[in-house]
Amino acid sequence: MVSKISDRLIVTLLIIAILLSVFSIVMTLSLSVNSQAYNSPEIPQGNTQANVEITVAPNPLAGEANAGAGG
Amino acid sequence: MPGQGDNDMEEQMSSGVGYAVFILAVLAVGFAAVNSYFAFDKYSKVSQLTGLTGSEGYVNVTVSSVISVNFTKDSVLWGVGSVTTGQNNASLLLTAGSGTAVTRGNWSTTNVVPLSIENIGSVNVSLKVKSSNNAATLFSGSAGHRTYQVNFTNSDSAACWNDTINLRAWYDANDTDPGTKICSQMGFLDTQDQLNISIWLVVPYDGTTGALTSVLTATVATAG
Repeated sequence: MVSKISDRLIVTLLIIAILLSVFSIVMTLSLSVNSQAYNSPEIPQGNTQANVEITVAPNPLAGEANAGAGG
Repeated sequence: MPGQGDNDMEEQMSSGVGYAVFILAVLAVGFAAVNSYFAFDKYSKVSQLTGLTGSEGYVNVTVSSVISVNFTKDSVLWGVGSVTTGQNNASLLLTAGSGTAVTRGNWSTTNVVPLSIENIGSVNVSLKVKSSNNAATLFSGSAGHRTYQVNFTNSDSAACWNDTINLRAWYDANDTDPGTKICSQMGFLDTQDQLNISIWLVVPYDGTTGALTSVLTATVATAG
């Protein structure tokens, strides 16, 4: 009877030891994730160009030759 | 010479419980070995980021400067229009804060807004702006009846420091390299990092017709 209890106790302790070891490994691996070097974020590339657009429709009646006024 | 203890172990090994204990013990030792390997391996690398090196250490962090500007409003789109009959030119004035005005022409002012440029980097910069055209190359036509000018104003207070031109003054669009130096120092703080660019076009009656486009290009460098 004493021998069975002792064996069960040993088994329990060994299981606890295994679980603790697994837990420790997981924690260590998580540490490796947290300690990874962070790469610099990409440098934002701004839009450095702007457009000025205009559409000029012909007006044959505009200009000095017609009324000679304005401008 | 085998003793009583060896006999007990042989008996236990021969039983199911003893065998299970043996397997579990082997597994425990294996996990412990793997754990030790990872622990020692990672422990030596932690110091690379945290500076946790024992009695003393340092953290080495390099922050790079970012030099970048962005046209937050990058297009002035005057639609279709023409010079009013009998007039020598039409004036299309687009000013930040003062709205738009078209005289002697029939272009619509709807949705026409000034250009805006912002320093989105992390340092003060010097700013130059170059145009792909001047009035002559954009419109052709008579010299006395065409204009293509730009005007820079602070959108944010004191965005442009040590300006080498006069803000709020009109200048001909500069199509020569490297452009016109607008600011010796353009701020990067959110409260002082934005300029507006007003555009004034005078369209001659005898100029090129059709779609006309000019491109303004901003170049920046670290402010000295």
